[in-house]
Amino acid sequence: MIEVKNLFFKYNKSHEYAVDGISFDINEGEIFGFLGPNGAGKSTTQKILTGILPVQDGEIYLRKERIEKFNNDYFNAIGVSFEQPNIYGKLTGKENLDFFASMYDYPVQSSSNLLKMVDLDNAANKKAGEYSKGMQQRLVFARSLINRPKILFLDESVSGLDPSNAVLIKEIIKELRKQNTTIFLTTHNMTVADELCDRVAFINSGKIVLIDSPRNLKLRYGRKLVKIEYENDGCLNKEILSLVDDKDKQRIVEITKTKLIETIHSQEATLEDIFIKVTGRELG
Amino acid sequence: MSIKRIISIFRNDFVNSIRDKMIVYLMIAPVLLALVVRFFIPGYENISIKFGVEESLKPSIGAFLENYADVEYFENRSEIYNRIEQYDDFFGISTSSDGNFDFILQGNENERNIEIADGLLNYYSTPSVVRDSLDIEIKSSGKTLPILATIGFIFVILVSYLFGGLTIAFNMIEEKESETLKALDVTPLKLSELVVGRSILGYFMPIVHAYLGVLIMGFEGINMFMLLIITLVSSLIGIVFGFAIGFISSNQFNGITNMKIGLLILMIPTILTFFLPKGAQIFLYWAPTYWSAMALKDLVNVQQRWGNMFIQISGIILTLTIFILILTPRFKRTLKL
Repeated sequence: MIEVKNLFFKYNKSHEYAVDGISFDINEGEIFGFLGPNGAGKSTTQKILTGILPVQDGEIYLRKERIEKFNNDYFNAIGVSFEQPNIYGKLTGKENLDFFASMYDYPVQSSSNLLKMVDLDNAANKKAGEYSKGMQQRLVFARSLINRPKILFLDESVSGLDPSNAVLIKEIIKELRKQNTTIFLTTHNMTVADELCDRVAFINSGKIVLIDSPRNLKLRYGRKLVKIEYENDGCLNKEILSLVDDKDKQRIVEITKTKLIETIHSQEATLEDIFIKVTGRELG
Repeated sequence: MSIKRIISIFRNDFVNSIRDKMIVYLMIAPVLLALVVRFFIPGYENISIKFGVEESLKPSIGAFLENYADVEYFENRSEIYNRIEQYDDFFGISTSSDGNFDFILQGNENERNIEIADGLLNYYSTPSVVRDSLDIEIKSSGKTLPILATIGFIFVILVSYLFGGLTIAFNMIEEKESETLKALDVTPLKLSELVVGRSILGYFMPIVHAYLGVLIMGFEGINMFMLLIITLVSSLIGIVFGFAIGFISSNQFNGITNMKIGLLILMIPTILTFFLPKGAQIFLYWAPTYWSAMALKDLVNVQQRWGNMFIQISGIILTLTIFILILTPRFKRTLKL
């Protein structure tokens, strides 16, 4: 769906590239996670892909066709949910959506349905400036869907939401994938990326250091161990055993047969562990 | 360009404006200023010569003056004094101790009005034989409003032109602060549509204010079609001013400071048009408000001619074009639509 080749970007006063020759592709209907700490180049890449920043050097292809200039066809096809809740505070939630709906050239979604989808229907006629931050974030997310985008850019759309609303937004994102929407998800929250993304790219200091599916990365970088917690003579015991060593494998069988097991956890690496291992830098 | 998007931008700005106390103030300020001009600054009524005559002189000089001026009668001299102290040009006639009459002035009357009043009194003093042999016809030599009234009118109308633009500025600043402009950046909205849609409010307000202002201030004889042309062209000053303030100001506080400085720069040339000699006015040609003030000055004094007005609106357009050429590249870089 989207292919990026050797993309570079440098801000006016900076000596270093904010985006330093990155290349990647995103398949249609895929959720592609763009992960990295603050200042890694995630938002700059997204701004270039959404036309907010110009393409200084590099190539961007949409369905194999090179984008020379971001035109109305492109803007009619994309949706962007910003990290900052950038809304008109003096307009109501519904007025905000209706205003943005009027910007598109093709039929759009009903603002009422969208507000209902993100659980804001009860606050539809309340001024958006009086919404809580979480409500504003959901409004921005709803706004990004108004034109039924083929490509959706989400910038930290789930981070900062309370657990129940985070679940709600994640379910909507999963539903959009089922409808073949291509999603570019920018986040520094590895748990969200792990749960939602088909593939992730790790970006650090403007460079992509790794691209793969979360499962492959965890298998590649994880330890093949299992941690078992069980009860023995009224005491809680813990053992960490190898999944490849024969002796440990027999021990696992023995424990499962003779002890009362409380928890078993495989010890694969988290995406955060992998990021730190690959870049030597923590996510902030 | 999409008409739908242009109207949406205008509607959005309008709704945002009427929900913002500061912008509502900008919307009503020209009306309040017009009321101030109406009640505190002498207007056309001051053009006719007004006399206050003591009741005892009614059959003589009172009856004579009634042929040429507005005459009010008073019981005694102190009542005439009280009336003279009011803001307008008013001349008192009272009996003097030697049986003649005294001509009473406040001291701040328009010289031209003093000359006319003096002439009338001299005419009255002429022996009736001579007076009757003369055929006197009073003709208007063209109305000229008191300078304060002209300044008041120009100030109110120009303020309405500029305040129309300031609504644009404050809507832009709000978009900057809330980053909603970024959200518009990723829609099909074009820069030209944003500018046109946003400019409608900058036209809408001055037109309403200009006509309302003329009605409130009570100036007569103004060519309303000429006023429309001058307003349509001069509103561009406010629109460019508004976009410039919106562009350079990062927040509301900053916007208010820039607005004050900008208003000062634009209003000073209009005031100077009244005080600088004609030859020195070449130094004011850079200011579009100078040309606008000149056009309004001729309009309110009922001396405006189409050819003259064409030169004045050309001056507005030319100076504004220079400003726009300077501002546009930076403006485009900021908006990226």
